[in-house]
Amino acid sequence: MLEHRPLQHHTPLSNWKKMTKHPFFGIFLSLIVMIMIQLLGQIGAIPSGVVDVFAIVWIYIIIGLGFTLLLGYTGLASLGTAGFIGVGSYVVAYVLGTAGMPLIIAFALGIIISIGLGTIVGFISLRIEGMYLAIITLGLSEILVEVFKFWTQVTKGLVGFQLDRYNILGFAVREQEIYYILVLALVLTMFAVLNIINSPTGRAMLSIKNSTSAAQAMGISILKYRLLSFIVSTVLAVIGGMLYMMYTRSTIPNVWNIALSLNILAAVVIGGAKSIWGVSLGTIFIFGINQLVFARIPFFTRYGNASLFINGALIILVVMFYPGGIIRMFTDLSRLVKKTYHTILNKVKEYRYGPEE
Amino acid sequence: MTLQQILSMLFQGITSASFLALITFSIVLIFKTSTTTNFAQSSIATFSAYVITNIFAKILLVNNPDGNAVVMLILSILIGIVVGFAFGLFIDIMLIRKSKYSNVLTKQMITMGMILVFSGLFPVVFGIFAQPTPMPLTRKVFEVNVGGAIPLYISGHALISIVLTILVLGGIFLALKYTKWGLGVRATASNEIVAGMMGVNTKFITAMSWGIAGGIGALAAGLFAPTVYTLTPDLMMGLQINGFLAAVLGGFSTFAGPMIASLIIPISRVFAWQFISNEWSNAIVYLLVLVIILVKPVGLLGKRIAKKV
Repeated sequence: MLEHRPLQHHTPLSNWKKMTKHPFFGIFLSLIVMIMIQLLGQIGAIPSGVVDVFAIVWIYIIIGLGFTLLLGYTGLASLGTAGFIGVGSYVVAYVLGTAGMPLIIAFALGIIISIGLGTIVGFISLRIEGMYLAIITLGLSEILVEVFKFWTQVTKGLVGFQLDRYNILGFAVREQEIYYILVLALVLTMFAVLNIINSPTGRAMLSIKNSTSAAQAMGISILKYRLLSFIVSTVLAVIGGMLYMMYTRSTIPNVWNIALSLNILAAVVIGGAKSIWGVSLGTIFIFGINQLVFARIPFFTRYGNASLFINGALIILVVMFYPGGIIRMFTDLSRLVKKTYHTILNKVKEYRYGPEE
Repeated sequence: MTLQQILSMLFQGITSASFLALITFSIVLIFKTSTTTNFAQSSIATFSAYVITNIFAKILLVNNPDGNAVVMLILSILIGIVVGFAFGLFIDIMLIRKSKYSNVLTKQMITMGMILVFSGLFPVVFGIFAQPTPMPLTRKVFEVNVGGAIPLYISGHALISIVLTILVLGGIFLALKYTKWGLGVRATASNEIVAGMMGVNTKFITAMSWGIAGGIGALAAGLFAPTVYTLTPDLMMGLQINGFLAAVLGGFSTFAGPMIASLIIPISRVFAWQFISNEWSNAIVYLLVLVIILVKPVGLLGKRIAKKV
């Protein structure tokens, strides 16, 4: 039978609708928002402190996107993130500050180190049960912090490392220019992670999370995908650390502690561990709201870490009752709105035309 | 290297092993009954240490300045243990059991969330400044002559910690072996569902294990806090990381393995501190433990458990 298909009209509106459905549209939109924030900061509409907070948030989104491949897709909880970020920050500090070499070498070195670290942790994760992994990565992170503290020739020890202003490709750069590098890195990371999770690789990782044995029985190599997710997440964490150092130009060993790893976990879990938008929202919530809102409320400024209570309570609530995270709330809400709209519509119809037979 | 030095180092190692053994045991007890690693153990213990210090220094000592300090300290440690017990029960009964979606990862994440909750609570409840810990038990220092020129100095506090640890852990090991509760714990540990079918009240057993683990953690913190002189929110974090590593090193599937490992780790740290480098001793010991775990993932005494899928 011949199927009669309606003619496709390419009106501007339909083109626009098609474009908004494209997965990359969100990334494009967030790119515009990120650039707008910097431009507004430059003309003075937003205080520069706020722009700084957002810059740090973009860095943590990069790290969180790597972490979500581990937690949301391969189902492994790691507590070593903070240590890996610290590695990145010290690589940039040493290469730019002490060795005086260009940034590109720092990036090459950082990526090589992070691939090495990711491979080590990945192999450890294959040897031991998933539950112990958090312990092992916590131990590894502790070792890294000890290295930051005591390898004073490279890290300058407990006082931390302050970097002078530096050049990129011969240009003296300020925070405003580095901001665009962060944005570029974040957009590239979003593309990469979105592609990974929507590809057979992402589905293979998800199957490992749901059941290791079933995935193995289907011919999915645990070795390959665990290693891959560890390497990707470690590389992103180290890159995040390098960007952090480029932007803030200072690093102290005590920053890279378990609380930071837990905050990244909180960001990923609260936002929604399976979607890049969830991770972004969660990170903005944990790292942005904390700095922008709580830092202005006298109660929270008086009691330093009090806002951590909210983060912790939110992790527990989300894990207990709402594993989808904040991002799930949007789909649930829109479904609820549609449902109520239809019920109201039916009620109106019933009222006007009498009850259905 | 004289005998006196070696003995002194051994004593140091055993002293820190006594705190570590308590923490490790509490972690393993929870792991055995509810198959999760309780990351909030250190936070509960630290909270109890704050409670102990505040009750002792700010309430008891202020109200009766010429009372017996040791009795008051014991009283406040008991109150701290009750607080730890209550927090342990709370996490199991109110959080883990009420969780709508429960698997190994979610339980772990709930305890990780509890760390953040506690870190937020500390400054609000106890103030933002580090508090000094009073220690009436440590004033006494014993001198033991072992033949060298310098006698061996043994602090009363360390001695009491070691003796208390041995008593408490010994008592619990006996209870595990000979009481109905111990039988229930062992049955729940080996298979929760079957134990439930055989009439073991697994919920009660699990809740009690969380409570007891919290209490033991509180005791460990109460004993450990005076040795570092000040209370900070991450007082017990280092001990907890060591406790986890000890538990993995010894093998989570046994009770005895982690105890042995929690004796090995501090003693080897003291020796590494003395012979290799005092800055790198922590890192060296962690690295060694990680390598051993990599070579023998089930731990020193653990057995490979075949799992049905």
